Amino acid sequence: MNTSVTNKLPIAVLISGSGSNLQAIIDAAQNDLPVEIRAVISNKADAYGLLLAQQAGIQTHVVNHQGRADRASYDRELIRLIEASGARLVVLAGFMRILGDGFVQHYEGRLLNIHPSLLPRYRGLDTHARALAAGDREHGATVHFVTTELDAGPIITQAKVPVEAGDTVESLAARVLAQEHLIYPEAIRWYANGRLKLANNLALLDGQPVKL
Amino acid sequence: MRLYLIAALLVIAHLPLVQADFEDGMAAYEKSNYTVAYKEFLQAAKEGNVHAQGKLAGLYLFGVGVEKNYIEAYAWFDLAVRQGDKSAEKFRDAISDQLSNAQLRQASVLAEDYYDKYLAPFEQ
Repeated sequence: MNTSVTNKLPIAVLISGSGSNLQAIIDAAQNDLPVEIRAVISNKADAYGLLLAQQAGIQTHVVNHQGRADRASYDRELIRLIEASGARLVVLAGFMRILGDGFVQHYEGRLLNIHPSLLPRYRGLDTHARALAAGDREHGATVHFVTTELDAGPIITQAKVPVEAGDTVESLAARVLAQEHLIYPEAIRWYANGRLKLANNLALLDGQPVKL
Repeated sequence: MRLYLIAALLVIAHLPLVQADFEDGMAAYEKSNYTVAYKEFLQAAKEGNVHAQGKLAGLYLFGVGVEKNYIEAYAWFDLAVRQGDKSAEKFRDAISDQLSNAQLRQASVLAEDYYDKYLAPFEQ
């Protein structure tokens, strides 16, 4: 290990699926994002993102919820793996499992999520179809601190994209995803550089509430 | 291998029963006997019947045969969506917009619990 490694923020990334945001973070970390991905954890054994992590030489874990007595024991196992990895920031990248209050509180101010809508619009699922159905002219993605309220934690940054005539769920999703791959590594960079903090249920960038 | 065979036999043996519950539910529903319809749909929905899940969710949504409950409605529509029901998706999403943050979280947790209990065992 060279000394530069020790200056990097150790992080863990939680996924359930293809891991395209994970790949964006891996790419950024191989470039100049000052983080070291210590662990990638999936709740699904067949998540493609696990392969992406393995190809990048990152330790992976599968924590299946089936057969567990309760949510608290699932959360404890996640926490155990994350703590063992030494991660100091937890990044949710398409992790499709609701995390318990205990987990969220344990990582308060150290837990980020990206959601494919301009929150507070379209909490929950199917965001692109809903934006299209509503006739919105603008759509996008939001990075936020995770709190015990679903898709409602303090907003860190947003990317907006236009909704174009003839857009389908797929074309709109692709346009949003391209932006996600830019804003998520950027938000992680702010955190890694000590510029981003959660205080009094507000995201502070350089000590000031973020302006959208 | 033997386990698969036993599992397959169980599923086959199970199918007519599930269908019966749903059809009993529909018969009761059409006679405006909503309390009975609710019970039959609930049984069939727990056995994985996608149509029953959608119907059951609708009863919760409108408070027919059972007390109105958007959180239950969300969870059962979500199960139907996971089995490919597109119209259930629209209902589920419309409910999302009506729920508070705390309620949406509660509904999402319930949907996951129902998925684990009523669908996941059949998806192995």
